[in-house]
Amino acid sequence: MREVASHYSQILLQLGRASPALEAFKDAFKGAKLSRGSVVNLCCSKGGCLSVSVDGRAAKPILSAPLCSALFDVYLGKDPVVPEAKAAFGAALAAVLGK
Amino acid sequence: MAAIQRCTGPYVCFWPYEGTRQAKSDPRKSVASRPIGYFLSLMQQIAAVLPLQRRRGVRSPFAALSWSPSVAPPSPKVVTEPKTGLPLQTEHCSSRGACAQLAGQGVRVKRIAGLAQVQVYSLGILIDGQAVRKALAAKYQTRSAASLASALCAEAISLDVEKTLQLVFARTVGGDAVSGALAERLEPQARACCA
Repeated sequence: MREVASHYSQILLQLGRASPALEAFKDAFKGAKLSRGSVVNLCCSKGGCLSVSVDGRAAKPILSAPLCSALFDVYLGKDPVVPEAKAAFGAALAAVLGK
Repeated sequence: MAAIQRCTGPYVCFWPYEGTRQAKSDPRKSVASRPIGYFLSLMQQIAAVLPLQRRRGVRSPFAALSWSPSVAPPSPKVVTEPKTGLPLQTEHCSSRGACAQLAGQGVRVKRIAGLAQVQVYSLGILIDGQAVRKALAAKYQTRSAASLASALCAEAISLDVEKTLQLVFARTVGGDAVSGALAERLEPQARACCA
């Protein structure tokens, strides 16, 4: 899980160690055991409301637009951790705009 | 009488019947009191209407988009990520009712000791395509597709629309390890800034 955590560490550092949003984000993973097939959803709704669910267990929503942006920056930013996902995403959005 | 109404979004709203107000005032006409034949006829009406919509070409606004062109979905709501064999949802809806659709997928691979590669999780990136179109269509009207993809990714980071990161794990991991690893990465930085 260190691999996963390392993705988010950059974000979290930007947000600040004592950020309530950061603490709430970390709390959402506490006590969870992730096995093959476990699903983590990080859902950002309008207004910057982040909902974290681990295997369907939803944590209390976190209102933090910077955290939402930072999370997506990990995957869609200049140094994406899953490059093929970013490439597919960009192509799909271009298709949305009819390109 | 059952009625099927189209919402403004890509959903079909189903109303059990139109006499809701009347049923409240007259308990004898409540849904619970309806005979089972009523519900059977209701299901038949639904089955009759839905294929008709398909024949008439009524499609989801995103049906034309090839969100995952390399993957054949085993069911309408799930695709299998080919490298891990793990399922990814094609749509995720929030409690507010807004939905995001799968637009990109891949596998997070970690190299261990510089040698072996380990699959950590399958990733799905979902976003409300309709909202994206509404927000960005005018802005990127004249851009070519080649230059557009990168710009759209940058836009999507801060775009205030429904969007979801879906991680489906390919190996067993403890949740406490997540918190521990986070703290481990945070503490050196905290020491550096606050010493």
